Amino acid sequence: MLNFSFLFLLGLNLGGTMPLPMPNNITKVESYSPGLAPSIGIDFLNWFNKKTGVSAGLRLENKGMKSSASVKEYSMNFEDFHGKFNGMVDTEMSFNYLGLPILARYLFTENLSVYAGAYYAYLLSGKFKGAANDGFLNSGNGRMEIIREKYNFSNDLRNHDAGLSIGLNFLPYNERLLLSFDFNYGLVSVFPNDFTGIEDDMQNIYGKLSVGYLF
Amino acid sequence: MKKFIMILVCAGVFCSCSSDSEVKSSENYIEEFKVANISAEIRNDLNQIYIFVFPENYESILAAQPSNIKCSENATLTNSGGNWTDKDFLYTVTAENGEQRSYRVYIDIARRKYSFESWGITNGYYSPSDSNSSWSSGNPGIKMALQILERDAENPKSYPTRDTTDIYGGAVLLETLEGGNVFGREVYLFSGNFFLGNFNVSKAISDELAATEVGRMYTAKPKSIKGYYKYKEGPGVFMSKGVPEPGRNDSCNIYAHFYRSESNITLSVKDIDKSNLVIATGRLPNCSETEGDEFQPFELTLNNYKSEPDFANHSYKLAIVFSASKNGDVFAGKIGSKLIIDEIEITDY
Repeated sequence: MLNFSFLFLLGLNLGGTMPLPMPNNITKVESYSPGLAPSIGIDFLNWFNKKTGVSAGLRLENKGMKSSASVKEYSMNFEDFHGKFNGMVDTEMSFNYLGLPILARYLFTENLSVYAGAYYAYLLSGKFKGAANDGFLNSGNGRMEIIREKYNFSNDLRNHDAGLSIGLNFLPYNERLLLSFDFNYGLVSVFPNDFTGIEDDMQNIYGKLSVGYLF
Repeated sequence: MKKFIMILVCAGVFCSCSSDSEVKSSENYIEEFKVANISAEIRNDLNQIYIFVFPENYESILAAQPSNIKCSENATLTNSGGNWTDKDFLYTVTAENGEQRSYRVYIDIARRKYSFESWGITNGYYSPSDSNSSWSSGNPGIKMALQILERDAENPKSYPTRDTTDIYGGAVLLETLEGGNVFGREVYLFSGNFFLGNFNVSKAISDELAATEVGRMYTAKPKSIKGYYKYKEGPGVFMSKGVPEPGRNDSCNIYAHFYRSESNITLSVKDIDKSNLVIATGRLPNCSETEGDEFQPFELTLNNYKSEPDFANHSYKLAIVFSASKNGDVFAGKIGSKLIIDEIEITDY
């Protein structure tokens, strides 16, 4: 038995693009704000039977955040700024992706289902910028006091992301309107492998809360 | 629900970083080195400690022991054993994280008179040597530019600053030469420069003005700098960033600054004019074309001291700077302008 349906989703991403595990030279995250990161998407569902199915989808979504962290001996390289930085690093990032999730789905009850799978996302545009503040840089040729040095790595971003997704759908009112929560774990850094601007791999780790309509 | 997600995400961010061991500092520098109350100039880019002494103090420095050596926080200092003035003696600084850096000590005579008789050709260009080795030029930076422009970087005559034999024997020739596109940046001309100080090659790619670190330790209060110069403007039209400005004359630039400097501070031509560390300045007011083929005497007088030098508590550097085109730093001048200088003599109060 084949049974097709469509799912239309509107959601908000909430999370961070961060190194995992968090290295110990990021000593404290002093501030974090998620920003508005909307997502719009559609899934094409195909149910094999009453319990299991698969879906493929398209997402137009934003992921982003702002943070401020104190760092110690943190390797940074941009313009005239090369070496190990000790101080505060402000970061502001925002990525617009066209995503393609492929998910396996399992229905527990009529109004509760779970899903898991993988996604590929193509970067349409992105911003990754900030500043190193209030500290000093060990340049290898001595200490340089740093008041504020801005960086902008927006043109150095990797043009895609890929990762794993899990989530659940809940239909509280009827068989059309659903609430969805999913968790998406990027497996590749937002920067290419040869990038040296900052020392860490930065992975997209975002949760998303959506409302959906099932056709 | 949304609050719950936020807590989840934030908890991940905050918790995963607190349990690991403390990050240790990588700084392994000697920050201050004093012997017989004379501060050394510390060159971290070369791992060298320079002590400039006047001839009359040379013997007493050799007999003294360094009294105050300060290194980076949490770093430890060891040495190779023997007397600190031995040729192979090394000071080794071990950073908190274990990275080591070894410094060699050089004791050099601070001179009050320079005749520029001795030069060496290294890496394709002229460098002042022996008794003149406190002087530098931008030639090491020009070498990179010449290679990019595919000019003959092995020919000393391709460089704006070079030796010339004139009526007083060896002398310094500074010439303004045609530039080109270097690392995607339009460098319209190379103005020959020559200065008491050091050209820091590690800074030269991104900023040749910041690489021009002017000044050497000077342990007396300078009164005047005398010398001889002659200046001929280039044959063509004055050019400013590649735009001709007919009728405008080129001029040279000769000046001196005396400034307060703790051992790790050296001002560059980029910041020295605005620095409040400068306590006295002397400048040749009119450095335009000289008549005939004869050398003219010049004198820079340092009589405008903002404060008296406090040699007991601070160290000071004397910077003397020459350039073939006064506005060469903003790529303005005449190609072919030539400044020749010789017989520099410093007198103290």
